[in-house]
Amino acid sequence: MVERHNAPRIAAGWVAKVGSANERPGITGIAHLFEHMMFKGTRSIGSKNPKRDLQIITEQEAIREQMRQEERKIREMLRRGEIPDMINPENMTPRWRELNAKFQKLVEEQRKLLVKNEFSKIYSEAGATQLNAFTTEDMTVYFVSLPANKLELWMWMESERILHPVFREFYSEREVVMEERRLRVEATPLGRHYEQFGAMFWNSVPYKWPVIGWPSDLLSISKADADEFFATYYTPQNITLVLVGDFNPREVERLTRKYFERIPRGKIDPPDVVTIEMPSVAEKRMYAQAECNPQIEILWHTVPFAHKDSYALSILATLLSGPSGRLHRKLVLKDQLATSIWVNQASQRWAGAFNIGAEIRDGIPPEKVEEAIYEILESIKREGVQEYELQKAKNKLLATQYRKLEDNFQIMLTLLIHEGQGNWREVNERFQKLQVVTSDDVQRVAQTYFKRENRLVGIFTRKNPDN
Amino acid sequence: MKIRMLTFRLLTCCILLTLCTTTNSASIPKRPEQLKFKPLNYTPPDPLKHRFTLKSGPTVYLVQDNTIPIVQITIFVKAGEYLEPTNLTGLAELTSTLLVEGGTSKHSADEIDEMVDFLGAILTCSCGSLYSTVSLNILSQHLTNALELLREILATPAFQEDRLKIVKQRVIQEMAQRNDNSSSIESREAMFLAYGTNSWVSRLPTRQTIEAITQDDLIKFHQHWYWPSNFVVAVSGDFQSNQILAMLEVMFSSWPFRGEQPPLPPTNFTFAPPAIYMVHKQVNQARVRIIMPNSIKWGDPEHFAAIIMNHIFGGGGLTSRLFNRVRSDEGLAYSVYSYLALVDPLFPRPFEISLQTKSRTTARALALVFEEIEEIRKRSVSNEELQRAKEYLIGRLSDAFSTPHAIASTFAQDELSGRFQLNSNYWKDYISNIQRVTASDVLNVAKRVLDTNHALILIVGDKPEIFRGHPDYNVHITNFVSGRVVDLPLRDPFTLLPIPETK
Repeated sequence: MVERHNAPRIAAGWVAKVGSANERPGITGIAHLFEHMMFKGTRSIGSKNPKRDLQIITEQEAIREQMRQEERKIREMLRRGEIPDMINPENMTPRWRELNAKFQKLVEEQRKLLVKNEFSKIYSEAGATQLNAFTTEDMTVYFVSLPANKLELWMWMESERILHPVFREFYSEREVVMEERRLRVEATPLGRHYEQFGAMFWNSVPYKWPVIGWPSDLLSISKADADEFFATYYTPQNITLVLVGDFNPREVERLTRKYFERIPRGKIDPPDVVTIEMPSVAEKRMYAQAECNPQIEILWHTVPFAHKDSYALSILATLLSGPSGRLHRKLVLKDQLATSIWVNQASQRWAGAFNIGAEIRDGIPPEKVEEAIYEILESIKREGVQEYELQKAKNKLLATQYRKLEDNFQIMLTLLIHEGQGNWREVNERFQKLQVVTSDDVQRVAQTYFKRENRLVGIFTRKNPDN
Repeated sequence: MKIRMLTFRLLTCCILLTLCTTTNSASIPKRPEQLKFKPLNYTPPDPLKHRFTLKSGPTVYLVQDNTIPIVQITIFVKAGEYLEPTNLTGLAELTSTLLVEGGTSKHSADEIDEMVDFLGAILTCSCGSLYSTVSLNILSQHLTNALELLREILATPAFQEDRLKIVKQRVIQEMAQRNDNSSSIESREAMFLAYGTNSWVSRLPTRQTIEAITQDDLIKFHQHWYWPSNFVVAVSGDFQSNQILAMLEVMFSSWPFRGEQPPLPPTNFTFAPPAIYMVHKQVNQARVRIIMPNSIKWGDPEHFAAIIMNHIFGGGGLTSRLFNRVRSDEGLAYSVYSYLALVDPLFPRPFEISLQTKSRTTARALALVFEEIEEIRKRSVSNEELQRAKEYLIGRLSDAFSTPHAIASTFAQDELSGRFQLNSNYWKDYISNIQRVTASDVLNVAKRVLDTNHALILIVGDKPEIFRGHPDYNVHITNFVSGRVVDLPLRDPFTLLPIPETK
């Protein structure tokens, strides 16, 4: 809880420490699909006739089970090259289409009983805004901003959807996610390239597949898979609530006990992700022709969240970036090899990566930019960094930290994300740890992580539209 | 400017509530309607309490909040793109960019980059069709330095030739991407259809117009418009109001040149005739936009009814009718919404509906949208829907004004657009004006805004697949508007001239 009385609002959210890294091949995308399903209502919200609604869901599942049997055959046809895909309706078997027609009848019957998007409507008419959620490799986060007098409504709604969720409209929501996938990945110039770039990078940790999932998996996830996933990961011991804003903490504690203590603790703790990233043995490279300006992306394997080297790596990323950083100065302004530069150290829960990327100036060979980046890194490995640069990076990180405290919503998100990656306390501790980083530390991490075999290089050049 | 080393302590302390497992749920009601809430009578902030006029010209909005040691200063300038000559399209934007990237008479661009970075500040600019902005976000202990720097940037920019060259090259290289993403094609063509290709709202720079711009043009444009009488200033965060007013007065006094009052922007736009405008691009999702020539501008007698109508129809996020039909019922789109921009008191902006769906369900999605249009034009919305929309629009007001920066910049933009001058009680009366709207007001305004006789449809996507349709739905793309299909060719990204088709 963070009490702030500057406006009569409360930013409230919770994180379930589950993301796509907890999936396995076959159900990739389920953590995110699940996030969508959590807006479909509960036993008492979303249907005029909850009893009949549940019956319909059972009947739907029976048909779906038959459809899945049929899909197994269709998948086999696809593997043998008898059909080109499982997306176009013509490629599905007559039996499947017949079952689908039956299924659609049940959907129509259910629709008559639905109170459409009632969960969102209740929040909306309470003056709640920003109702939404997101899923990453590590976490699923649900949040909303409420008028201060609606605190108890949040307690009611969120405990209710964790306690009694009903996954209505499961299969049409799968279609929504397929549209989301087209929107963000398939129908964009570099969406598929970045997806495969990520798949190339990770050697063993379960970050290899995209958060939104592979289309084949998305289209075969069943409601039973979702039920099992929910039972394993949406247990109180895996969930943290965060409230920021205009409230009385005692009142929050009283209401939280009242509403959330009724949710039974999960019988077993969610399993740990035991796979540790295997050290790379060779440099990897991707050359892609795409509809984009020429650009380069380099990723190095580094360290996960709160690793002792993560602070020196963050300082290094900060002093390399920005308009006065070494890379921009040299590559964009002095030598004019690139039009823009980006640098980031991303420590996730199970593993981390350091990224340097650049849009290459027209006519410059990409390898020349690559070499120029390595030269700057080599000089840091040899000579370290200046005290002045180090202090500049610390000042920037400090100001960034303060900016995150400017509004309730930001504070809430920062706490939820830190908690999702491992521990909310890092919000307070990280800053001290950054301040004690020395030039020697920066030099040492540069020497440790910027090794050839530790990197993946992607070079993207413009595809000639006539080809 | 002095540069000092900084050391700070982080002030926050957070407490995590851990959950225990006992049960105590006897008094939990079955439905949320049974919960009782204390009334919350929210009054939006009053612009007049935050508004100051400086002797040197600018209007200033101040919102003090000393909880976090950060100050945000935004200077809004009446120097938008509508003021640039058409043969130099891009001049307003380049001027704004080079203010921040091009150095000053006292400091080189490199020195400014260094200062800003060392102080942990964020210095940004933006340029829109009606006005431009320069913003500085900085730790409050550097406030004096910050104001000096802003004065330097705004009054005595150097527009360094070397930086201008780099920026021009970057802008031209960015143009190469104009056809890469179907969403860029859609936004561009939508503007051309709604405003004509040559209006100040829709026109875009080409390689030729950017190459033609010289340092001299930047200097002239700057000296015409960037002077204090054309500034509206929004300052929020950690300061003392009486002190900062004196500082701002100094900052804007004895400006080195006298500029001009900008003319009003022209408002004679050409709306394209009804048809299905189609840009072919080989992607597996069609981007669809329905555009109608709405006649409601900001301040219209039906202003509040229109806000409510749009909310119920398609503007209301996860609860709108469009969302229910197209997304939840049929899973045809991830994003589907309507957009009504009631922002300009001078002219109305078109009403728009947007969605993206897989190529073969394009016609089906359009059918659902047109059914919903018919529905809201024919039948009154239910009292329950009306009430829900009102509760939302009233309840979210406290969110719109929840940070000091949000308050200051909302008021500054009201001032710039002339909304404040037309009705300084807009926010004060907002709640009662929303309350007053009836279901028949909503019906009347729906008939006025959703003008299907003049609607046009823009689709960017895989034409053969879109035309092929889907066997489950008996509907074709030509069933809508006039049924007339107009193929729009792709445009050369550097000249924007149509690319001739190659067979």
